[in-house]
Amino acid sequence: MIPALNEQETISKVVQDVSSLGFNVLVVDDGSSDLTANRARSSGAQILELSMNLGVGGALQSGFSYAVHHNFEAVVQIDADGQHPANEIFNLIDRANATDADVVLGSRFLMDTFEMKVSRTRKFAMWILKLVASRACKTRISDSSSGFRLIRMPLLGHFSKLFPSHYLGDTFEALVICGRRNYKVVEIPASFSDRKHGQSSASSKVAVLLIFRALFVTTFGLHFQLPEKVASRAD
Amino acid sequence: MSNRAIFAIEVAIVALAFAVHVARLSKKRLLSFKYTIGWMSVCLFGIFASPLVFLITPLAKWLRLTPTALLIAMSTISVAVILIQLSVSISGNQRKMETLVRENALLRESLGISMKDKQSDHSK
Repeated sequence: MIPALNEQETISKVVQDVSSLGFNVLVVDDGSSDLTANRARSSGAQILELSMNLGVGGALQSGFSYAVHHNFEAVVQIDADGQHPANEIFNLIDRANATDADVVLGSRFLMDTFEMKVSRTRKFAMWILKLVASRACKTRISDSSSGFRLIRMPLLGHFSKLFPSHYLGDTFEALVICGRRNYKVVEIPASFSDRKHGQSSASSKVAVLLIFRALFVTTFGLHFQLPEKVASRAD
Repeated sequence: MSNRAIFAIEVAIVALAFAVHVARLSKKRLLSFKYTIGWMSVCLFGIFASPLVFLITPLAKWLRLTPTALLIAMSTISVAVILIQLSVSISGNQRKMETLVRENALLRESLGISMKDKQSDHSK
């Protein structure tokens, strides 16, 4: 599943990369004003076209609903800007099957070669996010804002009904929500590449503010609540 | 006529004028029935409660406030309550709109209808 907003330059390649591996590809066009939807369609993807921009979380929730309607057991979320390695989707699936995890997260920080170029304030804020997410998930989370991940049933079904739509809601908050309700989250290394076109959804200063907003929401439990996980599939 | 009576009449007139304005907005369909009823109730309360303005001074004294401070406090609390109610209403509408957008996209996908009739890459 690929949420996309004005990614006409990269979407075709991302769709082709993923579909060449034999996966069904769904692009959720989050109200793009360019040719993202057309290019994704002509590259062979299924398209959900949102008539207005709902944010990444809103686009993802639409995709989760699609997956549930079409009886998919799991979805892999991948960015439309080409940063995420399509061939590493298999690693997510293998780890999900091996660990019975509900969420498998691809982490750029587990790669020795990765170096993040961000301000100190943002680095510090992200470090706090890491701590909060790790504590909630009861395991070490190094990349709480990663958008490269696998989500499977029954969590997928819950997320199709309710999912945070604001910045960091779909990544960090969703992880915290999962962890607090005993859904299993595991992480694997993933080699992200640099964004070649377009720009990130939030500038550095705004991102820092939004990080503190996300911390506020999770600290005071203002996020939505998932049903408690009752038993694992292995049981 | 005492100052209190004049003040009570002024309050009633303002409430009546407000009620007329609400009725006009409702007639032009700029205000839904739900909000028309809500605001009309406020206006009726203003009209019928206006003779009770003489209670403000003793009440303010009892609360150790000036009458002006009491009126400002009551107005602020009323406005805050109304704003919270409207925020709840707007949030609900936003949720409904998002659901509608999602359902619309899913329906279009299942029917195989493209939303935008943009030119294809070839005709560019």
